[in-house]
Amino acid sequence: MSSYRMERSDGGCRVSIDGGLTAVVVPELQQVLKQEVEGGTQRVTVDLAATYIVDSSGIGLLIAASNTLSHKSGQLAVVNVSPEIFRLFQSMRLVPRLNVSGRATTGPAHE
Amino acid sequence: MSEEALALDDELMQGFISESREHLATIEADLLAIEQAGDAADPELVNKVFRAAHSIKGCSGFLGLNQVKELAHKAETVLDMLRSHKIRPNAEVTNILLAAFDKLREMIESPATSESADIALQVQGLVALASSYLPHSAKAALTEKVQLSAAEATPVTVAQVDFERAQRAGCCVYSLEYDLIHDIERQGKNAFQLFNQLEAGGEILDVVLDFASLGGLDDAIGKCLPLTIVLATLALPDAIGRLAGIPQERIKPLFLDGASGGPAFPAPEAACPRLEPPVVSLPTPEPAQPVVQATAAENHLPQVPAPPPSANVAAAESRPAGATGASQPVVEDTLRVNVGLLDTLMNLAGELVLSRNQFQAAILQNNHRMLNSAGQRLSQITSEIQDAIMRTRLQPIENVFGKLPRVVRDLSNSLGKEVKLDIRGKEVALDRSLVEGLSDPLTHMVRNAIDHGIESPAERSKAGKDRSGTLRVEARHEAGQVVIEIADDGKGIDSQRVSQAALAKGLITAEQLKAMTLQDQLALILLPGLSTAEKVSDVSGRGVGMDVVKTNLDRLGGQVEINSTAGRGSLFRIKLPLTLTIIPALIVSAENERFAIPQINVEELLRIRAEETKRRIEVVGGTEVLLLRDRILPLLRLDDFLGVLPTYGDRQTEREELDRRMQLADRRSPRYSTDGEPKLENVTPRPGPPVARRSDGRRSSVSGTLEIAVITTGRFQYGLVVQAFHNTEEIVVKPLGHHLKESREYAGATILGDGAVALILDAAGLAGKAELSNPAATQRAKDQEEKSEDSESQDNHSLLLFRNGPQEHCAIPLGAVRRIERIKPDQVEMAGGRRTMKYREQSLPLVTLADTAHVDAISGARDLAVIVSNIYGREVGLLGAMPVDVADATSDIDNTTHRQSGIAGSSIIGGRTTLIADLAELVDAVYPEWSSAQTGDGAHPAAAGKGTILLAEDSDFFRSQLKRFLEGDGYSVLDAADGELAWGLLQQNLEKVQLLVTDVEMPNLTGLDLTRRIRSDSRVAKLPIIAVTSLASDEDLAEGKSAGVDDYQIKLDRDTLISHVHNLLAAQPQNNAAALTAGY
Repeated sequence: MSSYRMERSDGGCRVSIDGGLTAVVVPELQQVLKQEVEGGTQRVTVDLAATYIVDSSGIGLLIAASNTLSHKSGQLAVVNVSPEIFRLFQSMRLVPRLNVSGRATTGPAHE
Repeated sequence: MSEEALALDDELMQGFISESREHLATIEADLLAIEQAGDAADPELVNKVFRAAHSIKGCSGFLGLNQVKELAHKAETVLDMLRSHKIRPNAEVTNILLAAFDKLREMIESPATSESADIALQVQGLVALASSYLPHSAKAALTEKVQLSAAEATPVTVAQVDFERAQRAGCCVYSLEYDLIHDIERQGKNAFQLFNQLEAGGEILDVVLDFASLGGLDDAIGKCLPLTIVLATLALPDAIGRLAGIPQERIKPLFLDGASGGPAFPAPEAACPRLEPPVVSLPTPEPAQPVVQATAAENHLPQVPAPPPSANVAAAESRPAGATGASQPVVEDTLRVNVGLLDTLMNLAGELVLSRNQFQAAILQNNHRMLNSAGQRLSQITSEIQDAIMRTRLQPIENVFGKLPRVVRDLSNSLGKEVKLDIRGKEVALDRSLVEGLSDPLTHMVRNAIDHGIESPAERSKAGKDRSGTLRVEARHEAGQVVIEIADDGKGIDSQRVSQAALAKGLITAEQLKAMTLQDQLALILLPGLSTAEKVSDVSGRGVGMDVVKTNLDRLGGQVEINSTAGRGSLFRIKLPLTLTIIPALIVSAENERFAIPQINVEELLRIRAEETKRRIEVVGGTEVLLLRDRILPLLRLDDFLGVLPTYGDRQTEREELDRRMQLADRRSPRYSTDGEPKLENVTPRPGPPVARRSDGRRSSVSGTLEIAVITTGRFQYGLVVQAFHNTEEIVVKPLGHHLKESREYAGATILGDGAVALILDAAGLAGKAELSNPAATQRAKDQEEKSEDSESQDNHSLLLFRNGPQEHCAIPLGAVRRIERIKPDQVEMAGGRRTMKYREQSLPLVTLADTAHVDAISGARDLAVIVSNIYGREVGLLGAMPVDVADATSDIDNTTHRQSGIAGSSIIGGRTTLIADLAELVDAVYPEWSSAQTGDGAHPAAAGKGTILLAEDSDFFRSQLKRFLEGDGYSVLDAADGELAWGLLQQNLEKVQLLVTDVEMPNLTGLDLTRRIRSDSRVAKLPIIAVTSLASDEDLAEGKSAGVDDYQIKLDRDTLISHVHNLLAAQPQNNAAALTAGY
């Protein structure tokens, strides 16, 4: 069951996705992020430490968030990405554009 | 990800690691071979390495090991250039590739951390390589992009080098237009699979994702996600549809933009003749026909610019510093075992079960005969199982030798030296624990040999050697041990420098140095902290290397011997036992405590009866020595050494009593108090200085028989006096407890059959503790050292030193000495004005120097020495006073200053003027009838007037001695002081000279060269030649023989020389005839 958490800190917010960043959770997240950004948040960090799968919708969301943030001189970062997902981002040449960084160790993100 | 998937992943990962290891195991050797072969490198070999890199790249990508993939990809690029002859496999290229593969190996071994590994250095090196080798025009290709376009497709740009590589491989480039949402997600697939699939079937040159077109958070997400993938593939157009999973209209072949003239490359159908099977496996070798349009350019490659120093040097440096880079022998915790061996073990296990049953039955039935036979059977099977299991643990030493080529190559390159490595005996097998333990010491010694031993090519040429040095590493089995030799033909170890350095660092005292033999001095390099290198290079020279080597080898139970000749080279010989834990050992006892001596250390067992001890045990320089055939061995009494109190069974009281019999010497021994009673409190094993040895050889057990084991430490031998020998057993070596680990004399302990504990003696440790390497005691060893020392200048003469008057130091050439006896003054009898003594049932005539020379008479009531020699075929004793010692005269012998009848000359020995006695002259003076008896004696075949002998000897002293011997026997002598002069004399006296007696070491022309010259001159080729010298090793004998010498004599044995001269002349019939008829 996918879920997410949000923490705010000065000037930025951190969204931690638990489970999957997929079409299931994307619509809700989209709204949340939209509100954040409109509320003035400039730095959004998407923490995928507990995320084991990202699908095309998820990628679409990240790209959209990135686009919106850059219009507002903000920045998106995607952190603690699992090796498999990192590889996917790499294949799609998304790593620099979405500021993707991986985890220190491999390991099951789920359960 | 589900757990299943994870488990699968783990299995895949393991499989990948295992497969990559296999690839990488041979890559190093392959790269080196390619480098060696240069342009003639086997293309199949290059392909093999390329495919290895390609495979690693592919699989690692599949598993998400991105750094590994990146590095492998870069390596693959360079290998591809190698394969297509765009670059040559020279040293620089090989270095960089080796560094890259080292890093890959490192990363693959720990995949978890590989993602964070820093590969910048290696990548930089590879990229630099790739770019520096491209023709100028192509250099830009690395960063440059080309534009590809097709009808109705958006142009894309890709890296030029990637595109060109694809072209060369005969691939076509397509643009694949996807909508991730529709094509992938809605189809129930995922993006992972898509990319994997595509990568399997070709190479993704680029992925184009237009961010801008996707809108922001305000727009609808998840409706579509357009993506264009640029794929280079060999697949035929219709197959691509299946590969890509999208309809044909979205697959568009791409062409190079702006090509002048016709299409940049032929139409897809013609250019893609083959279908590449889309599997994640090694692609088959590239088809031969993609014409590599670069071939024309290869011969006109610009000279390679100096490689970016940081990349190259860093790569080279990182290897020596980190031992041998990543190519350590892989410490596997699995083993490959020959299946046949396992079958044998199975059989034996079966036999064991049967035997056990038999045994149990026998016990039940209390049947002794059955027990016996079952016991025998059990014993045999145990041995066989032990043997078979040992064999499973054997690994060929090739596992260690295998990485030496790389070490040699890297080191010699970085030092600018040329070294040829000669490896022999790769198949010699050792227990794997030994193999592991050998790796570091061997590597270190090889590096030492290259760093310190082998000179630079310029120095070598100047010294008349080959420009490239040879390093021989050889392993072989010898007498139950494994022997590994590392020999170089470099400049050898300068024992002077070593000992001076050791002295300067306070590692030895001047006293100790004086007593050291050459081998001892060479062995100093094994001391910690000793380094004679002027500057500490990265490679060696910190002085912490050789002692670690020694420690490692000690731990393996091995010994190391060092031999070296200045200017010629060095030889390190390592001896290792075949196994560590179960060894055959001789059980001995000392005062009823049992000890074990490893069989490999035991050379011989002796039993010396009481009456023989006087004859065979001497005291030289305060040490007891044993005369064994042709050797003198220092003796060590085990009970003394270990501080065991000597006892004997007192028949009367039937108790063990302390042995109170003492001699003169005992009273002086610190173990005993002044009133002659043994001081018990002194008798404890002291960890400190060695226990004083008794200087008198006659203390022995009640029966008077001595049991002596001749022990060898590999370097030298000594005799160990024990109370009794027991049997030889196979013992299991148990380590000593830590509280005993400081004791050098024990190597371990074992439990004997009856349950008693026996300590295992360490042969070398015992000797070391007793400081048995005293040269005064190991005469033979010293002789051997002498000849390997710098012997160009002058001969070394061994002299026996004795006293005459209390302040008079005298000597006599050791070669003339048959025996030394020790007597009391009252044993000398005077009869008829002549001195004699009873000796072995006969009267031994005695002479003293005072009989003919103006020296003091021997005075003092203490013991006398009788130096027994053979003159004119008779035994005679020269009287002298104790003490007696042995020394070498390297300084000249002055034969004028002190010359008088009976004294041939003098020399400065140990800072004192020492008179050299001429025994023959003495005897002539005291017993003149002997010599006349001899010349009138018909035993010598050639009649009076015996002919002319040519004598070549550079030492005045010996020349005059020899001349006198020969003339005294009736020959006329032509003497010369060196080989050239002798040759001149020979030329002038061709008819007269019948025999040549020559020294070996002489200036201008050595004896052997003179011999060779004579042998090659037909006029004199048949001349009998006797070489008289102080060099007496097997090598010298062999050399003499091969030069053509008929006979080899040691200075200065008159009688033997004379008789050999006679024999040689008698064997020359024409000489005899000539002598007789010529009326000489």
